Amino acid sequence: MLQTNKNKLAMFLVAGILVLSACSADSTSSGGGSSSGGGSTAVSSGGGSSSSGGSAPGLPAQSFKQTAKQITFDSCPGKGDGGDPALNLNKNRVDDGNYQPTKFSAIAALTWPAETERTDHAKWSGSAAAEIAKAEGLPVLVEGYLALARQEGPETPNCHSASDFDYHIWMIDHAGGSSDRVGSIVVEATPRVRAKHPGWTVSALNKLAKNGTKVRVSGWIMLDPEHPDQVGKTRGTIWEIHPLMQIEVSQSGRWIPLDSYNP
Amino acid sequence: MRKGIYLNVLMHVEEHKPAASTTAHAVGPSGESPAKPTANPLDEIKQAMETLTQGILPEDKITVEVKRIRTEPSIAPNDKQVSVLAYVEGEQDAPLNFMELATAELKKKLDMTFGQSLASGTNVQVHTIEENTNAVDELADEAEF
Repeated sequence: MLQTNKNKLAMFLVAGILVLSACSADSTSSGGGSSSGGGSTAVSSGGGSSSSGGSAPGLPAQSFKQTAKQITFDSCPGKGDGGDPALNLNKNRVDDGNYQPTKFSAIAALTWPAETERTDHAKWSGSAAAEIAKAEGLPVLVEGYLALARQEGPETPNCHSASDFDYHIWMIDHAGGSSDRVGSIVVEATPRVRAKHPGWTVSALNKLAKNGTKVRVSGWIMLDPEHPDQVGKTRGTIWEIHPLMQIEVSQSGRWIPLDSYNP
Repeated sequence: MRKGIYLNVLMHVEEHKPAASTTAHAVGPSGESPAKPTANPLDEIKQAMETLTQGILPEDKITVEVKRIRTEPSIAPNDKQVSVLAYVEGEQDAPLNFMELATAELKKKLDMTFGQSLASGTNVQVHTIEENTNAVDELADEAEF
């Protein structure tokens, strides 16, 4: 009788472990972009590589992270006027970093725990926060092309200002247009950074997109949990380069800052 | 600071359905029909929202501009849902929470507008008011395609 109960207990424990494992695998979302390898769970199961110091595969080492700096801009503090203050502080950083060459595909392949979607940072579990930290806040330098640029509307990070807007820019890994956004990485130019870059206009960005001009952007990797519904429609992932800190254009084999670019 | 926000308003719509035997006699004491059961609820809501925006006074804390009104997929067979995408502007100190102010003020206006049945007898109940952080892209993409 005692032995039977022990066997039952053992079977129960094994079944429980299997269920928990299945839940863990199902709870990771993927961008599903063409270069992402489909529903891989690289972030959650990879555990980071020794070469990248605990970062997700293909990304700079964690040692390249630094403390983010924000400023008050047009009376608006870094945490914005509501929403998720941690997300707004990420979006509003203005510090330059040691940007590391990173492949477009490495960012497109990043996954994220489903529990982070439409959820404030403060409500994430420790394991979800740890997974996101393998990529978020890393300084990257990425080459690609632009599909489209748009001026956005009022948002919490900009205190819902009716005049200070982000520029939403869709970056792709090949020359293309608006219809290629399905596999794009969204890269954002914030008003705080744009204040130092008068040449970063929607018109100039869309000319680069239209002409299929190769670009190189520098900025900070960030997860934007607010837009999972757009994945597979107008973006390939909710991982972004946000904020952009530099935009350079390929001209005669050299990289020219967009502010100085004169085609 | 001048602030703005895109708000999605989801409404439940309950159409007035007069009993079959009274339909032919739905005439008031003065000879006028008390309700117009054949009116399109979507058109009526559009008209009501137009009245709401036109009725905003300079002393009000917000201005409202309706960007889109459309029917949404219903959850239940007898349940109709309509969404309104509104752009709301107002003045507020930068760090203060504009979503709370805009949502509360818009809710007041909607309650005044839809507190009573519409002319056709249709009842409209505001279900949710939420910020739409993707409104600019949605509107631009809809215009493009």
